[in-house]
Amino acid sequence: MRSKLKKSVKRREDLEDARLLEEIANGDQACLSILYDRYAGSAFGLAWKICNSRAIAEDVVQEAFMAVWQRPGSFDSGRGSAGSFLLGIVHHKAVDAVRKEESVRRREANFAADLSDSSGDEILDAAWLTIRRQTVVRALRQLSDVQREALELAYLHGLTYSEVAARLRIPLGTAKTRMRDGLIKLRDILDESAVT
Amino acid sequence: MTMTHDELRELVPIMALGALPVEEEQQVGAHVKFCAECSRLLDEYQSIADVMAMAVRPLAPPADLKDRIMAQARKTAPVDMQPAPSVLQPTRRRSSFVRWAGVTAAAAVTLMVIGLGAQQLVEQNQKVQQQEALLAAQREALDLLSSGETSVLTMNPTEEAGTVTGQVFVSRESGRAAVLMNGLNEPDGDSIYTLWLIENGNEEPVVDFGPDQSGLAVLSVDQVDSDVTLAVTLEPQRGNTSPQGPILAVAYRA
Repeated sequence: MRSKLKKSVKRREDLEDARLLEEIANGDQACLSILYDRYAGSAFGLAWKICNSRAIAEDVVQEAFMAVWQRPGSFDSGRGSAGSFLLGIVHHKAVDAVRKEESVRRREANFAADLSDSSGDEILDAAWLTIRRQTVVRALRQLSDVQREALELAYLHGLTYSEVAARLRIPLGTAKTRMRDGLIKLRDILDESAVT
Repeated sequence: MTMTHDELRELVPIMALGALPVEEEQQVGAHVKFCAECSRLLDEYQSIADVMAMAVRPLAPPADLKDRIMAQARKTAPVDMQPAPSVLQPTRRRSSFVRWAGVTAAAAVTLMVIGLGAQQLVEQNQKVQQQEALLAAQREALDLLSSGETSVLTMNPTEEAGTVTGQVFVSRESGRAAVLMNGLNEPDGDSIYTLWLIENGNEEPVVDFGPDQSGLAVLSVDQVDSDVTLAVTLEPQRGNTSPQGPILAVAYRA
């Protein structure tokens, strides 16, 4: 009886992301801690890539996790996974931060396609995250070069579409078209692999 | 500059990527709050854009970052646990209609204590005061239009607008505004048109209104600041404090 009961109670560490957010909404700090352990590496990597500043990236990640802590109810499972939800917040805050800091110049030297599959010492050992990452990387590689370039500059480097157009020396309309078409194609590819 | 629906829709995927400059982001953000089609598109594009975040290599954050976050979490409870405020705070942008509505409500309560036999008198009194308020608002609007110091915004119709069109005339000096709505049908049953002001994501009902016999309504708003969106909805009943009905037209003051 006891073992049955024990089996029926999931450990917090085993909870799915969406359940973690439900528990966070009830004020469960342990679940926030678990969510951090799962996504802090991805969040910090994304924030650093956009901000190109360790200090700003730390602030961004802290703000993002606090936003999730304070407003977990804003997560809508119909709009994607909890991981995407969290990383979307990180992205939004990182872009805000980078525009405030006007650190575009600092990022000039750093711009290079960074979709390597290789692992390093700093990469967290989270197998399932790695698989998802590789799926997204493969999907991005299926885009045309110009679409991928426009999406990366906009999303992963925090540039506005006019900055993307200036960087690539293309008309504003062309920049917008490449981004839109790239997103649509990415959606079609990911739909097949059911990543979202 | 006011953008058309098609122009705004074109910018939705760019917004999902976080690649709009601030001013355009505010305009598109205000639009999607009231356009079901663009709101759905934004959700769709946003979910795809956010997947791109997973393509970035994870990096180990500083060891003490988790401690800082958890320490901050211990000091603050999730907002979603706290009960939401049940009453919207009035703001300085209340229209003359709203001021009138308060007076009418008080008058109606006073008359109700006289007895049910006075009900007809109360209703008649309300209608007279409603007409007076409408005339006063129209006079204010006409004064504003004749001042010559106005900027004009188009109330962009949504797909559910039918024949509804409208314009907003805003005094550059005072921020006072007149809203002219055309092509309005007489609402069915308890339905009522409502004008809203939206600022920083907060919706404030300005006035419930109906058209005259020609399908026209002229509304007066005490102040319309910049970065504010005006919207007209068809609500299922009078007095809603948040929009429930379809959005018919939207204008944004940059």
